[in-house]
Parts: sequence; structure tokens; C-alpha cells
Amino acid sequence: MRKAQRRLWITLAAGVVLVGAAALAMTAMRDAMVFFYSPAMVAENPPQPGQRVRVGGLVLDGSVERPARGGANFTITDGGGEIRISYDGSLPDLFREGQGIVAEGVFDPEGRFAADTVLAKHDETYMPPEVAAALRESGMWHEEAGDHEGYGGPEGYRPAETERPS
Amino acid sequence: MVFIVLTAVIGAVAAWRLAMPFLKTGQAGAGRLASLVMVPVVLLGALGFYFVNGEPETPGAPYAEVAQRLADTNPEELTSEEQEARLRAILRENPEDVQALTLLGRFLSRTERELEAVTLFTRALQIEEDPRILSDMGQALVVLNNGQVTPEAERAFEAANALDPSLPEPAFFLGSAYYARGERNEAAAVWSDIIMRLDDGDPFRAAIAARAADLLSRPQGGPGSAGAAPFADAIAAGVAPEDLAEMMVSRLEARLEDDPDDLSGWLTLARARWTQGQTEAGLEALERARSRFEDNAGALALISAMRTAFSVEESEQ
Amino acid sequence: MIAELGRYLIALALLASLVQIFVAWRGAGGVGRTAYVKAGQAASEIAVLAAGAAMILLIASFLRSDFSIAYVAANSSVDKPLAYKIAASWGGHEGSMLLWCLLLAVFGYGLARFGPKDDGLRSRAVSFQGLLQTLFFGFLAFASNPFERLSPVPLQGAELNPILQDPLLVIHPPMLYVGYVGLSTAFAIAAAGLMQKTPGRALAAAIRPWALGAWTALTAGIALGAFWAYYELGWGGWWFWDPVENASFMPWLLGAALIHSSIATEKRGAFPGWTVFLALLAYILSILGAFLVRSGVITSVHAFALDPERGVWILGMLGVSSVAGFLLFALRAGSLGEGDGFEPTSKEALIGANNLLLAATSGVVLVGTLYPMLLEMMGGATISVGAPYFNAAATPLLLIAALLMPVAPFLPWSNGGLKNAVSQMRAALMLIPVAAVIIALLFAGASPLAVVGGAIGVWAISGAVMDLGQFLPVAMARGQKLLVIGRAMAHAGVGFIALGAAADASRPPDQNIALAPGESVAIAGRELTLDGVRRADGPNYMADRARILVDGGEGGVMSPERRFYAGANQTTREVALKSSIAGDLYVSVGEARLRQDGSTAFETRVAFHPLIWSLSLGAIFIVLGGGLSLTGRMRAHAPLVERDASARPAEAV
Repeated sequence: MRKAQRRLWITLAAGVVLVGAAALAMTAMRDAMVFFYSPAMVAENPPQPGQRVRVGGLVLDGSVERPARGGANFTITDGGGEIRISYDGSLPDLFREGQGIVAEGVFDPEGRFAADTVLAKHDETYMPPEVAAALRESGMWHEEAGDHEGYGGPEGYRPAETERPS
Repeated sequence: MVFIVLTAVIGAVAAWRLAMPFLKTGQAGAGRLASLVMVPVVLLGALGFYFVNGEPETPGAPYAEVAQRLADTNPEELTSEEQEARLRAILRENPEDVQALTLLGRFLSRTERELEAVTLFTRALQIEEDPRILSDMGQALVVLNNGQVTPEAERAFEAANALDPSLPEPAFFLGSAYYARGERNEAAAVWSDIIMRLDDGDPFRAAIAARAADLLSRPQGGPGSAGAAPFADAIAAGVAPEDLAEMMVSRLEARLEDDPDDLSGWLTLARARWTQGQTEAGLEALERARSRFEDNAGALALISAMRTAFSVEESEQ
Repeated sequence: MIAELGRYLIALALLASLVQIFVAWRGAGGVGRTAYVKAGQAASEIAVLAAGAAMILLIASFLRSDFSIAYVAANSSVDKPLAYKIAASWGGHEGSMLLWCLLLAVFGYGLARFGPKDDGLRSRAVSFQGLLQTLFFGFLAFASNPFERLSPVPLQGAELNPILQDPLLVIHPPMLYVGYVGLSTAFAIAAAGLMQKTPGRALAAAIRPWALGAWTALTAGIALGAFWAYYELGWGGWWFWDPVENASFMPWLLGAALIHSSIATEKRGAFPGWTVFLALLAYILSILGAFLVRSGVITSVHAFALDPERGVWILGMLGVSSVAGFLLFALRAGSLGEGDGFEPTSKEALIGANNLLLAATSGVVLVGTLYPMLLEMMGGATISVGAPYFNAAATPLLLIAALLMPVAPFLPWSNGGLKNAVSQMRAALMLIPVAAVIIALLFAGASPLAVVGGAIGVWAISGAVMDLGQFLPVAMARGQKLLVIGRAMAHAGVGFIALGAAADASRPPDQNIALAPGESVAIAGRELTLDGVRRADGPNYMADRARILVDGGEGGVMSPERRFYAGANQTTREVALKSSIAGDLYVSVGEARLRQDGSTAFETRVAFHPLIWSLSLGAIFIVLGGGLSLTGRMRAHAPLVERDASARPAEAV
């Protein structure tokens, strides 16, 4: 094959793969992108029931209810609103009252949120990013929100982030 | 000083290692010059980088040294955190030190770390059965469960009470457990018993008596009041709430005529009359209870506590 | 003093790396420069020794629980078991960066000692490696020093996150880092080659063993991480497409592309520019990974904005490396030369296709990882892009690559040979529909993608077996058996991973139910009964251990635990696994909850992961395959460039 011909071949193949990959990525992105709502945003302009969204906020003290059959119901807040969440799965080990969490699922027509995923990242000081941003906007944010109970060091000493090594 | 010498030695070795290839080839001129430049560059450069953030004067603080210092200091001069660290150090040396286990357990209970406290008390109890430790463990369990006396806590209080019936806390919480189950007479018995055992001046005595009188005089609800709803017809007939209340209190009064040994019932009656505004009837109910429980100092203390509560309320009005 | 000595040693390593850049560069000048070459090697030696000694001092500080060092205080407590005290020295941010630097220096020394045979190329590569070392040692010394002091000294350190206290995580980060950092050698050699206009074929030959070794380690590191996630996080996932994982997956994909394209470049001179470009890009993506993981930008764009020092440093290193690499590439790519032609159904063509697909996948992953961050940074909506995107966008590309993979070994270089290959692979081809039907029946309700994935997995495995049958005898006669075995094993490994992933995606729904002692739950035809729960405390945690009977005890006993680490104030789950050829029975136990009747029920999660061993086996095969190829290559003293031009007719057909 001649050089020019070969170049054409390679360029063509590369073009097909790139266009294909880009198309694939764009369709997948449109279908799989999940918008984040804070309780305040839900109170103002709730998403369609049945639309897949993420919500996040601080777990309201005293709101956690653990039915005997498993799963949990609880309320999250950001100061600007509240969302009641029901969840059938097993709560992450880091879930606790006052902690920031993110839940993914859908609203039912009555405004209750049925979550199929609840995330509290495997890190003590972790504040799910969407929650941190929403809380900052609502003024409920404290820099020391991830306060470390137990053997805290002297004042002003904050443990560095521990994250999954990589 | 030692540190500077050490770094100088390390730097010199490194510089020598870098210069060696040039010296070995024995070539004159540029190479030799390079090797000569290398030595100060390495020696000073590394130290320069070091001193950007270096703190040569700051000593290290290995834990063994810290623990030794804590052990050598009078515990009273230590902060609570230091005391905790000291206790932990003692336990690391001797995990069976009951005193350290107990002290640390109490400290943790007071600083909202009940779960760990319970573990320490459990360890201490495996070595030595002590009513105070049992009591502490029971209380930690109660706090851990938001004030509920769980079966595990109740067992601890029972054991503590059996070992030393004069300890106020186990008896009080044992009574609370009975009360929560609706066993008011058993609760009254335990509380009267401990009040009897305590000295007059003991602050626990007054506190327990007041709390017990308050609890025992509350109208019954929940478990224990099973059976058909006695006033269903009256409610259906649209009787006024005040009349309904009167009907209930009268019914209680009638029941006490048949079963006058129900201390809780008497206290409830007295309180009900009092809240209805019939102070005389309330005081009379207390008097009747007093004559009924003449021989029971604990019960008398409860009745007095109720009386005191009334007079406090009176003076407030 | 130990801490300050450690800090000094980091400063010394930084200085040695700086010296290494200049001295090694002069060493490449020509004859009579041996002193400079030797001095460059000495500099890399000093950097290794200094960084190694600093690492040892850091470990010693962890063993002594010296909380006057901020990093120790933040990652260790007195009561932590010894092995995890040691592992904590590379478990947190600063320590892991020290490990990164140490490995950079080790690879620099490796290049100086065992690098390319061409003296000039080797010296320049050592010099470029010195540049990379300087960047990272500078970051370590000035922005991220593991020996930074803390005052006042706390009495107790913060416990290392308990889920990181796991035997696997003692070796997972070092393994992963050998992979990440190992790719720096490919970068350094590629940059050196561009600098001195080394022809593409020779350059690819010089890059390939280093890239292969690094990529193999990266594979092992990623696999260990996936396995850890599977049994430690308590819900049986092994790959989450989270940014931390994507950060390691992108260099892996490019590394996989690189080790294949470098074969084509080395043997036939095909796409030399692309190979060199990949060598540069793979390490740049490694640094991008470090940025994503270490700058806090994943946690939140705002967290990064609030404390940008680390992030800006890493971005700076990313910028310097990319500008240096790509500028060189733009100026000098022409000198790499052009290879001979090839047919669309030749081995080169298939390697090219595989490269395109792997690179496209990497791009798709990059977009999915960065898009939410960029959108948020520009003030757009807060969105999350999760597994559905990656499964939909990346998986098809990877499946096509896996579909083409088994054919490549059967194709000749340069010439078209599809007909021949197909006839040689008849048996395996016929397996595809059979496998698809079996999988569809076995996992009723499996998604079409999973059925296709499983069938492609079977096809890849059988293709690898046929590869061995066809080419091993010839290779043994030529003394290249390790190369063929390595190729077949790695390709079979890919097949096993596809099969295992497809099977796991088709598993029966996980069950999450509160069980009181005596109660049971059924999954995948087995009945699990909670026999009881008792205390089982450890050195730095309290634990409830459940006893779960499988089929009333006939199928054995499983003992999952729920632990509470008081020091870290955190609860974790220890999963119980029961493995068989059919798959893993997976049980974890969670919170206790009081029932109305007064009994205590324990939240229990049970799952069945069919053929999950296939994933581990696949990873082991790929790692062994990579290792064998590397060994085989080092043993073969054959000329680097095959000279069998006579065997093929020129420019015909």
C-alpha cells in the first residue's frame, strides 16, 4: 500500500473510533448525569417525581428511625428545608446524626425521597462535596464540622485528611 | 550542635561520592574544577534547602518518654487528658490493673465515650466482682441507651444491689427498670428500701425520694393498665373532660379501699386531687397513706417527699 | 532529632536530583565524558540512599509514636498493631509522596545502571528523570513534608482510618506507586530520545521493558485495591468508577496501549510518533491522578480552593512535565522516522485498533471524571457522573478491544491474513454463541451487555489457549517460550476478567435484612441462619462476631464481624466469605436493633457473587503474563530489531 493510502486508512479508522467514542460518551452522559439538589432547592423548586436525583444535607438529630425489618428512615436538612428519606439498604458505617450524607434515588409524588444509595464516604472528615457547597451557601457550614471526637489533640490541631491511598 | 555535625558529615560523604569520578579519572581542568565546585554546593545547598522550614532545636517526643514523664508527675498536676493518657499507659503495662480500669472507665463515661467505658468495666469485672464497678457499668449502659435501663444494665444493677444493698445508684436504677415495665409496687419496694438504708443527711436520699414520689404519683399508662377501656361509654356519651377526670379519680379511690397496700396508688390519688384543686382531699390521701405505711420508713420518706413537693408548688402559686 | 534528620535527608535528595540533571546531561556529550556519567549515577545513588534513609526514619518515628511529627500524629495511635504503624508511614498524604519520591529516585538509579544500551540516550534519560525527581522532591521538601513538626505535641495521635488497617493495604499503595512512578522511566527515555533524535524503532525498544514492568506493577496494585474494596467496604463492590480509581485506570489504559504499540514500533517501525507520545502521556496522566487524589479537588472544588497549596504545586509539576514533554514532541517527532507499510488486516493494524480503543476509553473516563469538577468550577450546576455513565460509555469500547484481541496473535506482521487466522481459530469462534447461550441460561435475567461480555470473555480465553497451541512449539525452538506464554496468559487474564465482571453483574439481588438469632435468610439456594452474636474484641477495637450457619451448619459456619474503633470513633465491617467454584457467599453484619418483642435483631447483608474468582484469576494471569514477558525479554539476547525483511514480499498484494 502506498504511504498516502495508508495514512488515509489510519486517519479514517481513528476518526471512526473517536467519533464513536464521543457519541457514546455524550449519550451516556445525557442519560447518566445526575443533578444534585439541596433541601433548600427542593423546597423552592422540587424535581419531577420519578426523576433520578441526588440530595444531600446533614442528618437531623433525632430523626433516624430504624424499622425492625431493616433499612432506615431519616431526615436531612441544610437549614433551608428538610427532606424525609426512606432507605431499604444497609446504612454506611459512617452514617450518624449530624453527619453530612448524600442519597441518590427518586422523589415520590408525596415529596418523600426513596433512596437506593446512601453515601457517607469512608473517611471520618469527609464531607460529601455537594453537601459542603450547599451548606456553605445556606450558612450552616462550620469549618470544623468534621470534628473529631475521642482523643482530640490540643486546640487548633486537626487531623489531616485520610483518604483511600492510591 | 550534634545535629549540625551529623548533617555536615552526611553532606561531606555525599559530596565526596559525587566528586570521586572526576578525581579518579585524574584529568585536569574542567573536571577537577567541577569536582571542587561540587563539594561546597552539596554541603551548603542541602543545608540551605533544609533551613527553609527546618527546626533543628525542636526535640522529638517519642511516646515512651512522654509516658515516663506522666508517670513521674503528681497526678493532681496533670490535665484530664494527661490523666487519661497516664491511665492508658498503666493499662498497657498491666492490663489487669483493676483500679486503672475503673478510673479510666469512669473518665470515659464522663466524656461521652460510654461504649469503651463499658468494655473497660467488663474487663475489670472479670478480674474482680465489685458492686461499684457493676453500678458504674450499669450507668454507662443506661447513658449509652439514652436513659433506658436495658436488660444488660438491669442485670448489672441487680448484681450490684445483691452485693451491696446500701449503694444508692443500683437500687434507684433497678426501681426505674421495674417502673418502666409498669411494676409500680416492686419499684416502690426497691425505692423505699434504699431510702430506708440511707442516712438522713445523704443527698441521694432526698433526690431519690423526690424522683420516686414524682414517678409513682403519675397516672398509670402503657403496660399494666390492660383490659377493656372502662370509660369508653362515657366518652361516647360526650361527657365533659373535667367530669371524666373526676370519674377516673373516684374509681382509683374506690380501688384503694379494696387494696390499700398500693403505695403508688395512694401517691397517684393525692397528686390527682391536688391537681384538681382539691388540696384538702390530696392531703387527706397522703395522711391515710401515712397511717397505712406507718412501719415502713422508706414509704414514709416517699410520702414526705410528695408532701414537700406540694408545699413547694403551693409557695410558687 | 530523628525528624530533623529526615527533613535534612529530603533536602539532600532534592539537591542530589538537581545535580543529577546537569551532570548527567553533560555526560551525554560524547567521548571523554565518562566522569560525568559516573557522577550522574552517583547523584541518583545519593538520592536513593537519602530518600530511603528518610523513609526508614519515618517508619522509626511511627514505631516510636513520636507525635511531635504532625504526619505521625495524624495517622497513628500508640495502640495500633505494629504492621499498621509501619504501613501508616505510606498510608497518608505526605508519607505516600515520600514513597513516590523514593521510587522516582530508585527508577532513576535503575535507569543509570540498567538503562538503554546507547550511552547518550541513557545519560539523557537519567537527566530527565532527575528533572522529575527535582519537581517531586521540591514538592515534598517545601509543600508536603512528612517531617513537619507539631506544637504542642498531642498526647495521642489520630487513629489511621480503620478500614485502611488491612493486610492488603500494607502492600497495595507501594505496588500501585511502583506502577505510577515506573511510567516516569518511559517518559524520561522518550524525552531523551526526542532530544537526541533517536530513531523510533530503537527508542521503542528502549522504552518497552520499562513500560512493561511499570504497567504490570500498576495492574497488580489496581487489582489489590479492587480486592480490598470487595471484602472491606462491606457491600461487595470491587470497582466503583470513583475518581480515585479512575485516576489509576487512565494511566493503566494508556500503559496497556503503550506496551502493545511499542511492539509494533520496535518490530516493524509502525506508528513511532504515537508510541513516543503515549510514553509521555502515560506518566503525565499519573501526575494528573496524583493531583486528583492529593489536592482535595475530589472532595470538593471548594476544599481545593480553600487550601490550594498542594494542588497548585501538583498542577505546576503537571504543567512543567507536560510542556517539556509535548514541546519536545512537537519539535522533534519528525526525527522518529516512518515505519514500513501494513495491510488493514495485519498485526500492526490490529495493534493500532487496540490502541485507538484503549486511548478512546481513557478519554471517555477522563471526561467523566473531570466534567463534574470543571462544570462546578465554572459555576454550573452540581452534578455527579457515576457508574451508569462509565458502564455505558467505556464498557462497549473495552469489549470491542477484547473481541479483537485474540485474533491479533494469529495475524502476520505487515500482510493481511484474516482468512488464515479465522480458519486457525474456527474452534474458538464457534464457542462464542455457545458461551452466550450458556451464560444467558445460567444467569437468568442477565443484561444483554453482560451476556455479550461473558461470551467475549470465553472467546478471549479460548483464543489464548489456541495461541499457545499454535505458537508455543515454534517459540520454544527459538528460545522465546516465555514471550508466547506471557502473551497468552495476559490475554487469557483479560478474558477471565470480562467473564468475572459479566457474571458478577448478573448476580442475584443482594439481601439486606435484620435477623434475630435463630432466623434465616435464603440466597442462591442456600439458607443462612444466624446462630448467635458474641463479643470478640481486638487490641484497638471492640467487636461483635456473628456466627452464621450455612444450610443449618452442613455448609459450614461464617463469622462476619462488626468492629468499633474507639480511637478513630468509627465502625467497620469485617466480611465473611465462603468461596467455592460457583462463587462467593458474602455476609456482613451491621447494627443491632431492638424489636418490639424485646429480641435483638442484627442487620445482615448477604450476597452471592458468582464466578468472582474469575476476576482475581484474571488479574493474577495478567500480572504473571507481564512478568513472564519481561523476564523472557531480558533473557533473550536476540537483536532488538527483527531483520526478517526477506520473509515478506515488499509492498505487494
